[in-house]
Amino acid sequence: MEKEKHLAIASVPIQEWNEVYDEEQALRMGTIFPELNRQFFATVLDNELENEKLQFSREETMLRQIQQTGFVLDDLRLYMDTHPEDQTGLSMLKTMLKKKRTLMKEFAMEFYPLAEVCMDVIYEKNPGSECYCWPEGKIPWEGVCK
Amino acid sequence: MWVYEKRLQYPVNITKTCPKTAQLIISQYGGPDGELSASMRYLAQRYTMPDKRVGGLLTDIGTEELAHMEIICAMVYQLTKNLTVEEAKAAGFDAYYIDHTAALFPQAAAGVPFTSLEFQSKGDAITDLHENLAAEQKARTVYDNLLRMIKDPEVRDPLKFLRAREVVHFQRFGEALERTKNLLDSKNYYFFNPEFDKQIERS
Repeated sequence: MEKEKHLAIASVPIQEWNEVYDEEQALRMGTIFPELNRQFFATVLDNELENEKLQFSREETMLRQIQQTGFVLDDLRLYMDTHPEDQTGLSMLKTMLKKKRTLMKEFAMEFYPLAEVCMDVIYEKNPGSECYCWPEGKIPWEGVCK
Repeated sequence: MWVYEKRLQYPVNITKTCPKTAQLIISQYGGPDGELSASMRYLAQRYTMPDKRVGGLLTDIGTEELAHMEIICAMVYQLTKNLTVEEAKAAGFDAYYIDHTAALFPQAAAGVPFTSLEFQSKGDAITDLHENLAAEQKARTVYDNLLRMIKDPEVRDPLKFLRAREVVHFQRFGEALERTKNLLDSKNYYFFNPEFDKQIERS
């Protein structure tokens, strides 16, 4: 895809699809692509943040999974924006979209809705619900999902 | 149209109050290379992009920057939510406290308030994409500087994530630049402005 270089204009090589991190590692590294993970020297000796709580609640575990799957989608979408023809990326996108929808649905049914579409899930199951469920649950900036 | 998800893109759990750190990090909220100017820059530039896929990329990166702004704000909030007047004084956070108490206000580390001049929307696709490549590098440098200075692992953790995103965004803007170059004549990329001189492009 890369063409000849020209003077007086910048060039960046187009990324090619290779191996990707799993969801847990992707969120930790800040990308799904190992070749875009360029660490800074001042952080290479950092220890992993120790989660003092060894036992996660089911709510925390699920929210973390949503965060991981959601992040894979965030990164993958940007890749697809510049690689709309990439079928490997597309097939991963399809899998992840489905996974995130299922997780968000389950989370809404057990805990609280994270988005408007999840409110719909609750009312579909229980049309007579008298609960305006949007304010339920934890406020994101208070520090949840350890 | 935007849809809100009631969660942060990356978790923030800071347990120690530290107004000094908040004062440094706030630069990535309202400073010259902060997430507020990043999101507004990309979301402003997208309307006139000649390649609609590049406009789509700007929407998606601009949207992610809004989520990054939320992460930075959550960090500043958690670093100052239990702030005492004595702590504010000792940390040099007293001037901020006088005007904003412990609320969020977009400003640079040195106290300069956010200004829209930082969002840089020039109306030429080549120019704006170079601007964005530089913007991602500038933001990365700020995260590097923060990571050299701040020791608290609870603060470093989300900062490392945000820094990594700058590198990925740089790559995507580079690819967007390559797409845009395809619309132009490689013998002279500067013969016309693809965002403005549309009749020349068609001919």
